[in-house]
Amino acid sequence: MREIWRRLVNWRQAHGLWALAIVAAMSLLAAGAEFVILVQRESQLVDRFSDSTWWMAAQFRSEIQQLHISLASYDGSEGGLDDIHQHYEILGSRIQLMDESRLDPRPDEVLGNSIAEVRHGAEQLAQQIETIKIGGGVPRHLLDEDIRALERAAGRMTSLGAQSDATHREAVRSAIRRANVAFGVALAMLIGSLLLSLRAVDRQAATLDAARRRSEALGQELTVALAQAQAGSRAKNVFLATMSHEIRTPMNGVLGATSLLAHTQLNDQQRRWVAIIKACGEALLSQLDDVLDFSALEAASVRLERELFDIRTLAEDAGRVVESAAGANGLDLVVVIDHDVPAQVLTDRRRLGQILLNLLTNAVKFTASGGVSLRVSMRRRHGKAWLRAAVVDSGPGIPRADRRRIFQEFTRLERPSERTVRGTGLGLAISQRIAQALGGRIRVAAARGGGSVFWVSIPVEMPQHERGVALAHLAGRVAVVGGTPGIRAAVELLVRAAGYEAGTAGDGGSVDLLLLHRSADAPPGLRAARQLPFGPGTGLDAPITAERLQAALAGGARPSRASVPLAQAGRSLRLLVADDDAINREIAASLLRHLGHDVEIVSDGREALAAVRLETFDAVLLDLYMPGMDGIDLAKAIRALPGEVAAMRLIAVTADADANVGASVLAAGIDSVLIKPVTLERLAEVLLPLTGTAKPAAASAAPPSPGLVVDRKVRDMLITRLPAGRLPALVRTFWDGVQRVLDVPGGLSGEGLERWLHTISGSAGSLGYAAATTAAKLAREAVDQGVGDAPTLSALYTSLAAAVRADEALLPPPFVAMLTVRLTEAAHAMAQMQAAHRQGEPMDGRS
Amino acid sequence: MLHRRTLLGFCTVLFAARSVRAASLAAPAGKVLLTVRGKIANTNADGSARFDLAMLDALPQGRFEGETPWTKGKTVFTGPLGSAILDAVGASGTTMRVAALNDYSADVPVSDFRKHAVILATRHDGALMPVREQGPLWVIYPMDKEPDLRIESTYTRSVWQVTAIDITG
Repeated sequence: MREIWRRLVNWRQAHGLWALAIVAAMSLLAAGAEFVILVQRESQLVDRFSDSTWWMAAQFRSEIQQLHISLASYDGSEGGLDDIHQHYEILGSRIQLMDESRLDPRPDEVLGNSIAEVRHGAEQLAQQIETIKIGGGVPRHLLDEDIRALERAAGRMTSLGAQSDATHREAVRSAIRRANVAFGVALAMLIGSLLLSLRAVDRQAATLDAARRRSEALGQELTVALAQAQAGSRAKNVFLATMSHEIRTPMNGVLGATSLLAHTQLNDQQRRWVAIIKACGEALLSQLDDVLDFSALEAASVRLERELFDIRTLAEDAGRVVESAAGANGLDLVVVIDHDVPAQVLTDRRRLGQILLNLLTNAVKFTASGGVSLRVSMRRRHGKAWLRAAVVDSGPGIPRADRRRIFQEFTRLERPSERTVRGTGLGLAISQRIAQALGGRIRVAAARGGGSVFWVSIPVEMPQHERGVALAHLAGRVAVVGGTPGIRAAVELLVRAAGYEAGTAGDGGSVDLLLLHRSADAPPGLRAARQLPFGPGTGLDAPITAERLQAALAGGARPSRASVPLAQAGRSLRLLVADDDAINREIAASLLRHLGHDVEIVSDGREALAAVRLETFDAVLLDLYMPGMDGIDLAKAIRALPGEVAAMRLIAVTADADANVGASVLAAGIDSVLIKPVTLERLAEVLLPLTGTAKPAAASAAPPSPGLVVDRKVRDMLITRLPAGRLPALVRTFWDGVQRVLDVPGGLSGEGLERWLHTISGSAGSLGYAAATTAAKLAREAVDQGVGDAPTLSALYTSLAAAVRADEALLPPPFVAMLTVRLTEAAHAMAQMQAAHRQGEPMDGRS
Repeated sequence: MLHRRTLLGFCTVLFAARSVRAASLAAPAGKVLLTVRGKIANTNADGSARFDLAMLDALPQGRFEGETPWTKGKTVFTGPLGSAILDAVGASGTTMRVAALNDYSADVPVSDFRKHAVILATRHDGALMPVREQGPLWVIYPMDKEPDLRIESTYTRSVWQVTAIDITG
């Protein structure tokens, strides 16, 4: 039943087309029929060639009468005979024409008999005519009987001919009538067909119109649905971000408490459990970070930075971050930067670093043996410079079918052998979104010799003069043996970049140096002047960078990471450092002393003014924000002093990089501004006009990395520049200061809070606590602008908690645990305060 | 004046030409087959031009080869061109009454003879035609070369047993 109904519906749907087809066929038929009818009618008329039967008969009869008359009037003369003869001949010609086959219509039997009778009669006459010719006169009976009989027969034939013609005409007329009827029917069909097709077309048009209206309505519904879906997606992102943020705070508490627990009396079993809690907690925190980051990217609320930075350092640093993980897996790790990659490029440094780190972390995580290499190169395409970073691993590879899927959020490929690998599956999705936000893209392919290659390509700008590093001259032949093909290729690139000729082991002969992977044996036919092992656990291990390789090739030991000889030559200066924060003071002083200068330190503006009254310094480094007399006032006071003291070089040190500060600073007569965190390079640079020392080659100091818990660059510098043992002490001082703030009953507020935020933004930056510095600046802005500071303070406490945990090694463990818990509590309290505030004032735009 | 003199000269020449032609139309030696009367310039009897077979044969000839409604199968007719006869008699009318032995006659426009290669057939399939076979003369339109002539008016004008042509109008 249903089947029949379905068919019926189908038929009805197809019905319009069928109708059109039928109508078209009908029109065709009708037109064809009309053509046939017209042709038939014409041929009917054309066929009427011959004279009518009646006309033939009448003519014949007339000739007989003519002959009769000439016979009757025959007087025996020659002329009379000729006349008779001629009429007889004419009669004969008529008989010839009366051939039945040529008559139209063909005579019926009666007429045929009549014609035959006439013909016979006429032939009978011939003899009589001949008799007359001979001179026998006109026989009487000829006149009376024969010719009269012939006349009668001809008369009968004429009547029959007339009847025959009449019948024929009727037949023709009825044929024409039939043809006309047929023509009329065909015409009606044609007109009907036209009307039907018009109707069908009209119907189709109506159907189309209805369909268009339906699709328009559907389109509107879809638009609405899309808007709803997008709103839903946004709501989801906001929810995720909020949730993640809210979870971070208690999670810090959990981790802090776990640390405290770990330092109590525990048996082995309990210690293992605590370790598990800690590991899981930390994994959860990093996943939350991913979720937050992804939500921000999804909501397109990420502001991309553009800064000029050293791409080589960024890539090598990314390599160093995964160094320990690679080492733990026994993997080779090589970082290659092509010689045409400029020293500095312009794009979002932090985001690019995030992608590189993500790709490297993934590669190391999923590679059980072999190695991972990162190669950075430049391409020019569509008139743009594209920075391209390829991460090659020797892992299990990614099936072609999954290559697109892995960039979707929360995607993790099921690999039975690697159940232990943890993660949200957001890393690649985040990387892809970042790459897209930067105008680039990220792809994955199969690597030669197994494994995968992920590459990211991002358009970058670079200073006009950047040309990359020229290749050095050939310094000898180096063969690389062992390791995975990817690693070998990467190392060979480094060898070439170092100015050596990279040969393969297969070509025999001798080389100047054989780089032999620790897992491989030296090829038998190869003679090497020198042999150097590489790979995990050797002198040349993860990450193998150009710098390390060059050092190894040069025969030297692993180069010290910051061996820039800054303090050489130049004039030694007498300097005054004015800063209210002890840590900042000490770090600045230590660095300046390291640069070979003589430093005096004071803790506020008044002391500084007193000091400059007593002694003329080469320069004063003054903190802009100090209690009592701040940097601006101090500068104005110094410039107001009599004598040459007023002309002293004044260098403002500040954590604020904004333009307002610049304007007020210049108005106060300050010569230059040093943005925190204070680094050796920056100090050297800002003192350059006084020392006259050439700018050190490596002085292009990297700006701080706002997202890092601990900026390793800053920390490395402190480790190498500060007197031994000073760093832990300074770190302890910092955290003691934090603890004191936490001890204030009811928490800091008002000016006290403002001052602390200022201090902490300076000293945290000096110690490399980049994230905490950023959080402190945000909190300060919030306090300055008088808007709700609870959320920013909550964030500050959270990042401080992360920072103190990161420096676990430098501090007594119970102290770290205690601070973590207290900071977490403080963050939590602030978050609750914020929540309460939000409930009271739902329109708080800053949350 | 000049015009009048020129016109006069032209007429003189024309008249002279006619006179020459009139003189050239000889009298028939044999049996007269065709007599042309009416508006004609050249005559060889009182007011008419008479032709015997020899005279007709001496005129430019035409040929018909095909079917007619009155004969069986493909036939050939030959005879002098109608236009040649008109030229020979110096005809100036527009209509001809073509008459037959039995007093049948048909009105034929002179233009028919001028436009179409109409012949007055003297021979049918090479033989002279007796009266019994529609002779001695038969007006045959060139229906073989011009199929459009196969129409009733042509058939009516295809007079047989022709004896005389009277040019009028």
